[in-house]
Amino acid sequence: MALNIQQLKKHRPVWFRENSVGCDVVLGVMGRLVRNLPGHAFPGWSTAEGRRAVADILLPAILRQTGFKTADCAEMPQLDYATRRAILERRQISPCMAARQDGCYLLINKKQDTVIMVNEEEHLAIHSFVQGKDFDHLLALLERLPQALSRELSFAENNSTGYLTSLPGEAGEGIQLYAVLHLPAMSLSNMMPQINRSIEKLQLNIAPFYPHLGEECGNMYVIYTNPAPQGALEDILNHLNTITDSLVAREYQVRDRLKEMHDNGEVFPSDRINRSYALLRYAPAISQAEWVDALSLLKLGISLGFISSETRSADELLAELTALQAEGGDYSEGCDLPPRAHPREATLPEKRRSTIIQPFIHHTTLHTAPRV
Amino acid sequence: MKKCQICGKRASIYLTQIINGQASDLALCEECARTRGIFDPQSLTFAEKFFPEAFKKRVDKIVRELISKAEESDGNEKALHNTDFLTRCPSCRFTLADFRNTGRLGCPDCYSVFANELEQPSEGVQEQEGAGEEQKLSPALQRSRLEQQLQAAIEREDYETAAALRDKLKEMN
Ligand SMILES: [Zn+2]
Ligand SMILES: [Zn+2]
Repeated sequence: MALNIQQLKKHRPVWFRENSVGCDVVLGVMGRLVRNLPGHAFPGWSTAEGRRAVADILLPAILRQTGFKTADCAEMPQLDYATRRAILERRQISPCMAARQDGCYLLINKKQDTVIMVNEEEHLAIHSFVQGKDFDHLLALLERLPQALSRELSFAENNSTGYLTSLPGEAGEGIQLYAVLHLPAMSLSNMMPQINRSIEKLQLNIAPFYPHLGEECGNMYVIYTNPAPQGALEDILNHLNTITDSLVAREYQVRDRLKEMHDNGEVFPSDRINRSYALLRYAPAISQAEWVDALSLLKLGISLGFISSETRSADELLAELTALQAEGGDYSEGCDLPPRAHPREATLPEKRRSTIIQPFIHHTTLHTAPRV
Repeated sequence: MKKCQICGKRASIYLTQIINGQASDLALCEECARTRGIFDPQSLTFAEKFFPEAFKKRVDKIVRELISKAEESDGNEKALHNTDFLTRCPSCRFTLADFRNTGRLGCPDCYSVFANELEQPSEGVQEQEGAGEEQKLSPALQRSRLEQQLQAAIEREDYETAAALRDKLKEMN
């Protein structure tokens, strides 16, 4: 079955689904599960023929499993640069997969909550996505396909190490967990360098959600574990869960402090939010970096009660902004510059911008002048 | 016909690298490229676009190897190849030198072929911070971990950490 690219482009990843005031920090969680077939060279070391042999075993087996019979499937050479770029930016595939060619396949199930990569860095790599912070649901989703597959084929493993991977340091449970967080209040308060350092001390990793736009752009971050060694999955999951909870708590504490500052007549938080509003409303053209930053601060403005609407609830406003964030990948299409080398200058044309942002602007009121 | 600058076989991969402002051309055979971490020669153009830093790092490493090789005599090189031959994975033909070069393995069977290298307790490198686990790793595994961390640091453009990791790696060599 061919990969329906139009469908894929319309798909809104879990990070950009609706969330409500009071639970708008953890946007979603992702799990990565990898397995290899014994007796076959890892994809990085094998030839195109070797990869095809692996795909000939894995593809039909995957497409036989419940929930994956109608999955969309494409061999990587069918995907152009813009499509690869778009699904990489949404974090649906890994950078390694984005660069793959012959004998490497991408599959997405109809529900679009699971992406399967055949001959990525490992023979089989599965990414599953869940909205919010439901790690139990995530693990159940992630392990469904490999469990079903293990009834008809065996994966490379040994008793002492666990599942074998091309990087020996990653062998074990073959599972890595990620959480995507929106931390506008902490970013605005310049707390992120300190958070970065403590995350690393806690044996977790943190990366910007939009690495090509800069460290803090959009105030979105990915916190993730190292691949779990054998027997350590539960510990690693609990660890990430605890750290995520404490980051969420801190983000809300800082939001409360911003509200207090505002109530005490300080200009700082409302100034930044008003500027974002003005940028979205009046700038004739806007870059992707400005777009994601401004939307992030408007979301903060809603959660602080600085922005409201007579016709919509705060949750509805948040949902509209989230929908606009998801547009971020859309206007960048066709902009064929290598990442990092030239930070992208893609701009949102005024006409298009007004059709998507004006409806939001029309029914919202800013009331962020400090009360003296 | 261009020859591979490393082994002299027929070259099939050509790279242009800017070194100190000068463009220099590299010609490699597929095997030499792959054993040096240019794992997927078919998708070079995409690799360059999607992880330019990591890609450049690998190519730089090859350039450095060529320079040091030019300075060295051939004698040592042959001896090295002989010992490689004894530790070549029979399933996928990956060698111990390949593992040391890339930090990766060739196939699941490599785990038993290179078991000694993987489990060997570390000697020499004692000033690791995360005392417990890190100490038990073999030098090759430690290097592979550090290289991973380095790549991650470069990807998130944390150049401070990257520089520290690069220094650590240099110390190990
Ligand atoms: Zn060669
Ligand atoms: Zn092998």
